[in-house]
Formats: sequence, C-alpha cells, structure tokens
Amino acid sequence: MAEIQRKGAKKKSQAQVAWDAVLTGISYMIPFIVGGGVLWGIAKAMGGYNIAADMAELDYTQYTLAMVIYSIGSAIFNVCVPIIGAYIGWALADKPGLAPGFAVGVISNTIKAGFLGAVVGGLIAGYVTIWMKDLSKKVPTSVNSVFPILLIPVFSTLVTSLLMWYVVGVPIGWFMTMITNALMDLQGAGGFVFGAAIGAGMSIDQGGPIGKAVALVANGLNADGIFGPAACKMCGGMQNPLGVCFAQIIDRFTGKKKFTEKERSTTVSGLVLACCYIQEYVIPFLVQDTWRCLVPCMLGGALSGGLCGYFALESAAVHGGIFVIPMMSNPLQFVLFWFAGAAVTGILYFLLRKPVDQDAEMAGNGVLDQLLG
Amino acid sequence: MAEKKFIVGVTACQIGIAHTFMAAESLTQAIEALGCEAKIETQGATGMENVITDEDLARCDAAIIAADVKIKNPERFDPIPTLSCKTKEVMTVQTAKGVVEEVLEAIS
Repeated sequence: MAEIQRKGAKKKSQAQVAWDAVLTGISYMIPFIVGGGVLWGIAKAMGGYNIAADMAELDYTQYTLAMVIYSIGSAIFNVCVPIIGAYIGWALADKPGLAPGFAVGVISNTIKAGFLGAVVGGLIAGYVTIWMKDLSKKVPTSVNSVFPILLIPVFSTLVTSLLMWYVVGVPIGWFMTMITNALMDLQGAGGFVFGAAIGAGMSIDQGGPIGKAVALVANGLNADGIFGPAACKMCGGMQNPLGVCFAQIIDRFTGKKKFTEKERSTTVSGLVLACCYIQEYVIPFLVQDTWRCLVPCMLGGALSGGLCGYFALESAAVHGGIFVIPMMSNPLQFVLFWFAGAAVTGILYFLLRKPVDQDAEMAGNGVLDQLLG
Repeated sequence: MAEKKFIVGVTACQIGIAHTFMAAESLTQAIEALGCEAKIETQGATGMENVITDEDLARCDAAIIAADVKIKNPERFDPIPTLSCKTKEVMTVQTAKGVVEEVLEAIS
C-alpha cells in the first residue's frame, strides 16, 4: 500500500495490531451471540425456563417447536467462541489464519477456556500463521506453493491447538472456571459492586473505547453462558440517553432554559435512540460540557448496573435495546432499574447544567443529524 | 487547482451500526467542504455498502481508511496513496477536515 505517512505518527505498535485483531474477532462474533441468545430467549419463553433439561431426556425426533428453536439457538451460539478465534486469526494473518483460529476456538470450548481462551488462541494462531507465511518466502519457489495449500492449514492448526491444549489453555481454563463459578451465583452486595462497575464503565465515553472494553468483557462472558453481566451492561448503557432526555423534559417543564431550543427538539429522537440502546446520542452533550454530563451518567450507570447485579438479572442477548427486554429473566425489573438509573442521571444532569446561550450550535452528531433530516 | 480531486474511503467500526455511518457521513462532508469529490464505502453490520469500484479506484487521487477493525479487501488500495486512521478521528466534520487536509498535502 502506498501508505501516506502521518505527521508525527508513530508506527502502529504490535500491541495496537493485536488489539485491533481482538476487536475484529468480537465484531464478527456479535451476530452469532445475538442470534443465538435471542433464539434461546424465545424458546425459553415458549417452552419454559428448564427447556434444556427437558430436551436432554428426549430424542430429537420428539422435540416440540420450542425445543427445535432452542436447538437452532444452540447451533449458532455454540460457534460464537470459535468465531472469535477464527476472526482474530484472520485479522492478523489473513485467509490462512482462519482455519487455525477456528480450530483453537473449538479447542478452547472443549477445555473450558471459553472466550478468553479463544482470544489468546486466536492471537497465537495469527502469529504462528504469520511466521509460517514468512517461512514460505524463504524456501525454494518449487516448494513454495505447498505452504498455503498444505503446510499452513495442517501445521499452523496443529501447533496452535497443541499449545492451547497443553500449555496456554490450562491456566486459562482454570481461571475461567473460577470466574464462572464466582459469577454464576453472584448476587446481593457482591453483585451490586460488580454490576455497578460495569454500569459505570459503560457510561464514561458513550460508545467509545472504554465502553467497548467493558462491553467486550460482558459479551465475552455471554459467549460462555454467563448472562448476568450483559444485563448490567445494557441497563447501565441504556440509561444514559434516557437520562439526558429526562433532563431535557425537566428543563421543558420548569422553563429554566438550560438546554437550547435545538437541543430540546431532539428529545423524541433521543428517546427512540435510548430504546434502541444507541448511547451515541449523548456524545454531543458529553463533548460540550464533559464533567457535568459525565458524573451524572456514571452515577446513573452505576445504579442501573448495580441493581441488575444485586437481583442477578440475566440477559441472553447482548444488544437490541427494548426489543430484547422481553427475553430477559425479569423484564419488569430491568425496565424499573433502567428508569431508576436514568432518573438519577437526568435529575443530576439538569441540576448541574448551566443555562446556555440559546443560539449556540450543538456539536456535530451524524446519527442525530440523520434522524432530524 | 487544475482538476477536482477525487478521494475515496472506507469506514468500519466494531459493531457496525452507528459509528461506521457517522464517520462516513462526516468524512464525506469534510471532503466535499474542501472542494473535492468523495465516495465513502461503509463496512458495517450489513456488510459492504456503497462499494468502491474498479472505476473509482482508477480515477481516484487518494484513499482514507478509517477503521477500528480489519477491513475487507484492503489490497484494492495498494497502488493508491492511502491514509489509515481510526473512526474516532473522522467522527466530526471538524476533525475529519484535518485528516483530509493531511491527505491533500501529501498528494500535492
């Protein structure tokens, strides 16, 4: 690539390359986890919460429709850990990285190293494949072509998977089992702290890198069948746009004019975005008045997430806003906690805000501009 | 300036629902504000849209890849002066202009 050197730019560090690869893996996993999780939720709503146990006693020919839907959900959900590995491998080493990455992801499931194992394994797969690709350039051209067609798929997969099975996977599997056991029964005060941390973390940069890192952990745990953190994440995240809308509504009714006319005209679209779990609505407010917006959002997020953790709410879906609320373990509680957090955010934000120049322009926001035409 | 410059680009964020399209929008606006022609491909959750074609590649002057994840078919841009950055850097028209100016400076 005829790369344009950026002014004062440093070379992309190896850590940055690896991190981008991890994000790519997660990015490709999302549709699997959402599809599987929501189908599971539908099946449980149709056939009862213990559908999986009921299914174990039956032959597949005897399944009810709910059970078939549950099986479809399982089919897609069970590959979401391998998919992380596969696409991390692909992001690093291109096409040859895909097979070893997928294999190591499946291995990771087998040895109970879960999504963390797949992330580490995918990186190993990528680097082993890159190494073999480099090697292929050093050998005589006559044997060159056996590398991509034979040697890389076989040896890259073998080396990576053996490493995973006997070396790297062991501590990760041990660690993940510990985490799983700790989080499985997490509720009460411990649950509150954990949930509050997730909720507050989701409310810092509204869809930016910090929120992504938190979401990555919650989504990853979902891939391992721990559904609590996803509920905390969604509740903590969704309360931000709703809270900002609440502040605008309070402003409207008290006539304090702390928001400009243009800002208040976005309330309705803000509510729609809040329902769709699109936190980016908050960005212009955050940019314009960082601290007065950030602190209320984080407190509201901590409350929403903390309450979800305290009552051990579960969400099989990781994204989808109000459309996936019916699939949660207790939809009514979720809505209640969502509104509670938003109320805190909204009231605090309203109180902290200074009256603004009515003609001031809002900071740019593509999503908002599109919605407003 | 003799001829109107043509700048192509690709945007891709992690989830591919919001940031990808916000970045594409502001990048397009920034490029046009600086008197150039723009075409931005989005690689979001729905796959590739507004795809940069071979004809586009043949007549474009530069490319901007604003992506947080690995993009599809990056080799298309091999012969073209290309600037890579994060979607964050082109999220508002203001910051996007800075990136476009860098590109224009580099190819002038």
